[in-house]
Parts: sequence; structure tokens; C-alpha cells
Amino acid sequence: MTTINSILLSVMVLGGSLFALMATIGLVRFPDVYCRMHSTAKASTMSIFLIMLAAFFFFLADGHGVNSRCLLVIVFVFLTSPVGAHMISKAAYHYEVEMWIGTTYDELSAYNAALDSFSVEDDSDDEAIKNESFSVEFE
Amino acid sequence: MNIIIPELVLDISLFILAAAFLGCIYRMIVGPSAADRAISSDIIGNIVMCAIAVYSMKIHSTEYFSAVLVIAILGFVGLTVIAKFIYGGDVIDHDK
Repeated sequence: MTTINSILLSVMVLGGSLFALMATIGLVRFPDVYCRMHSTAKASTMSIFLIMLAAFFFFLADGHGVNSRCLLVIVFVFLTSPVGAHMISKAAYHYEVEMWIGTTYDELSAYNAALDSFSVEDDSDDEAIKNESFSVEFE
Repeated sequence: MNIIIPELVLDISLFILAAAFLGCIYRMIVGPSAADRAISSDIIGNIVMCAIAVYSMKIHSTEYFSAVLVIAILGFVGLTVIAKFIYGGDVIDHDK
């Protein structure tokens, strides 16, 4: 039983460090800021999850009791890593970092253009409605 | 019931984390925009957290997990501040 547990914990530790290495390979080899973000935000979170869970069970079995800081780190990283990646990618888009040449569709610029045209039409409609109501009241 | 992770596994894990660290250093030096450097600094923080956890498993001590929490919090705050600085050129909003 002990050998099975030690094999499981070894696989978790090695898998976590391999996930960190995969995140770095994506960071080095991908062509674009947004692609790099896509690689790192998930793989590094997974490496933190695996290694902290292995540390939690290791210290639980080693006689140190429940180490709640491992679980707290897991929860904190799962909450903050997507938020940070989203903020950095939004800032990069706003700073107009160049996209990869193979990018097929920019959804955010299409959304902004649609929003601008919609707001202009909306204002004109409001003015027309106000004019009509004024005319009705005046009559 | 004492679970023992072999020393060799922890050493190999530390070597893999060191290789990942070198890749992040490469991207931090070469990276064309400021966002690349911000991402690579965030990933360096995550790798250092993993390395501290593996090292504390190696020496059978739980003293260093406070450092892991502090690195996590400071990494998030630093990433948010850099993102805000790139976005508006100003960290704290003065108007409103």
C-alpha cells in the first residue's frame, strides 16, 4: 500500500513539473502574445495544482498534520490566474500589439464596430422619438 | 504508514523546473512587447512556487509554505499593476 501511494505521489510531482515545462515550451515557441497567454495560463495552473496536492498528501502522511496553506495556494491560484491573463491580454489588445499573421478572425474589433454603429442608430432613434412626442404635445 | 518519495524523483523534478525557468528567462529577454515580459514574470513566480514546494518535500519541513503564499499574492498584484499600467499609462485612477 505504501509503495502504491509513493508511486502516485511521484507521478504527481513529475507530472506537475512537466506541466510547468510545457507552459514554458508554449511561452517560447508560440508566435503571438495571445497564443502565449493561452498556453501559460492553463498549464502553469495545472502544475501548481498537482505539486501542491502532492505536497499536501506527503505532509499529511509524514506526520506534519493537515497543511492548509497548500490548499489555500491552490484556491488562490485557480481564482487569480485567469483574471491576470485576461487583464494582460486586454491591455495588450488596447496597446495594439500585433497579432500573428495567420489570425483569421478578430472578434473584439467586430464587436466594437457593431457597438459603435448600434449606439449611433440608437441615438438617432431617440431623437426622432423625442421630436414626435414634442410635436404631439405641441399640437 | 510513512510515504516516502524517492530523492531521485525530487531531484529530476527540480531539474525540469530549472529548465522551465531558463525558457522563461529567454522570453523575458527577447520578448517583443511588455506583455510578454509580464507573462514570463508571472510564470517565473509559479515555477518558483513549485520549486519551493518540491524542496520542502525534500527536506521534510513545512516552514516555507508561507513564502509560497506571499509569492502567489505578490505575483498577482504585480501582474495586475503592470496590466493597468500598459492599459492606461497610469496605475491609480485620479478622476472620479
